[in-house]
Amino acid sequence: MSAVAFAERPRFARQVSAIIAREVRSRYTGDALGYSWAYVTPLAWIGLIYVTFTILNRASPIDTDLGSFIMSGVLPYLAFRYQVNASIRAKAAYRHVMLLPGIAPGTIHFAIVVLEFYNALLIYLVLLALNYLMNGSFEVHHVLAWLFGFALASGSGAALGYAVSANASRPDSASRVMAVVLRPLFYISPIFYVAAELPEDVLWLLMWNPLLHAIELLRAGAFVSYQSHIGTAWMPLGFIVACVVAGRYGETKFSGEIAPSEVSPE
Amino acid sequence: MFGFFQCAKSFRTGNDERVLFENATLTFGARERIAVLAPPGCGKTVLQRLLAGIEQPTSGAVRAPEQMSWPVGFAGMFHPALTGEQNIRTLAAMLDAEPDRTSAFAALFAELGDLYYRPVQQYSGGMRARLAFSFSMAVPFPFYVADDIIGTGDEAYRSKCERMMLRRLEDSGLFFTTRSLRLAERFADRFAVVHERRIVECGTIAEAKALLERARDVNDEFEMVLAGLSVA
Repeated sequence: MSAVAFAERPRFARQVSAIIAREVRSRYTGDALGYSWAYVTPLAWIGLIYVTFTILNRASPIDTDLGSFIMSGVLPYLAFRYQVNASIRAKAAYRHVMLLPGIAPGTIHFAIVVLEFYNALLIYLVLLALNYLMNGSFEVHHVLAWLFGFALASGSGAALGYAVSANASRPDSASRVMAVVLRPLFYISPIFYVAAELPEDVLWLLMWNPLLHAIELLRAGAFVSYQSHIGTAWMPLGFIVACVVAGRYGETKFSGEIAPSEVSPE
Repeated sequence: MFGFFQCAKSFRTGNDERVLFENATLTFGARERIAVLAPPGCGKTVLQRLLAGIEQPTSGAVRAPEQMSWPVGFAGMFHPALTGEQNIRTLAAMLDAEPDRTSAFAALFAELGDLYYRPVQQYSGGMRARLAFSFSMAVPFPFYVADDIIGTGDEAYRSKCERMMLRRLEDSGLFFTTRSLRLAERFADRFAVVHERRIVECGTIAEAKALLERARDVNDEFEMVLAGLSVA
């Protein structure tokens, strides 16, 4: 990078791109599969649900191929999950980097969120292309609506991760809390069903799940034949705002909890 | 002025409360070089944490210079999977320093040869310390903080580190917590000792030495009492 090119970018952008570069270089190094791991996990999830659907002789509840339907549930859920985990991991991974002057926790979190969103979106696009090659269908009917639903799922995960990591005194306790939350979330989100299939009293309860709305909105954008009368953007947006407020509170209250021995030079 | 203003700091461990500082005051200017001497376990690192804003005082106030370095030679921010070069470049960019220039300085000063381009997880502790010190020196700051040691490696390399630190301090201030009288005398022009939970400023290094010995005696007696209690 030339000195001029480096100096031209605003400081915030330089910091964000440096954090992203550090993440990309460090995350999958030393592994034979390398970056391919990013695709292996969603493929395994999709494969498992596909096989389960086939064994149970269950068809897609939307007029589309099974692969596209499963992707429209699994990938926003994974985008949500990746954001939560990355936010919690970042608190531990960057606790020493935050000793550097001028590095704000918000800058680190923003960089991680951007990277995770980009990663999850790229995985979705690659799998859509793969599905096109296999089934001949590329199910993104209304790009902006689809992208908005996906962004709401990813954003809800980022906000939840921020709120939990900022309020947990230790990163491992945050991970334990989220493990308890993320497992049931898989079943209470419309990953292998659509919200309209749910009984009224169950739906009333699950309406509080922001991921339900994000997936419904994404499907309405993805599939020409699907219209969601349940999904609304207000629930995930409200959830994001509430989590950001909770995160700001936690950041002020528990700022920089590092053990004394960890700050001394070797 | 910067420093500690009537600070108290205590920690609660279970039902016990350990008081490290009571009404501790020490002020310094942006270009002053001050060493705070203390025996081990008397709160040197806590003073660093208070100044860095990582820790808040139980009461009182702490005011730190705006452009203050991280502890000189601190290696915790290096990612083990990245090479020395990649670490220096990304951290330099985060600090708003020129990555090319910072990396060139660190590569030359650390004297790691080709290892500079290998992952940090392959470094020995000494090599990592060299890289960390080189990075500290590669980015000039108007005010430095150092905890316990300045320099690393064998005598020749340590001497090189100390000369470089003195060069950086020609235009910069320093807050140095240490137990070494030699290092305090070499790098600081003002001295203080942590004694009986306060920071006592001393006029000369000889005065600091005498007070530090008294503080060590008190600390040794305390250790003996604790050892006796644990035996009992």
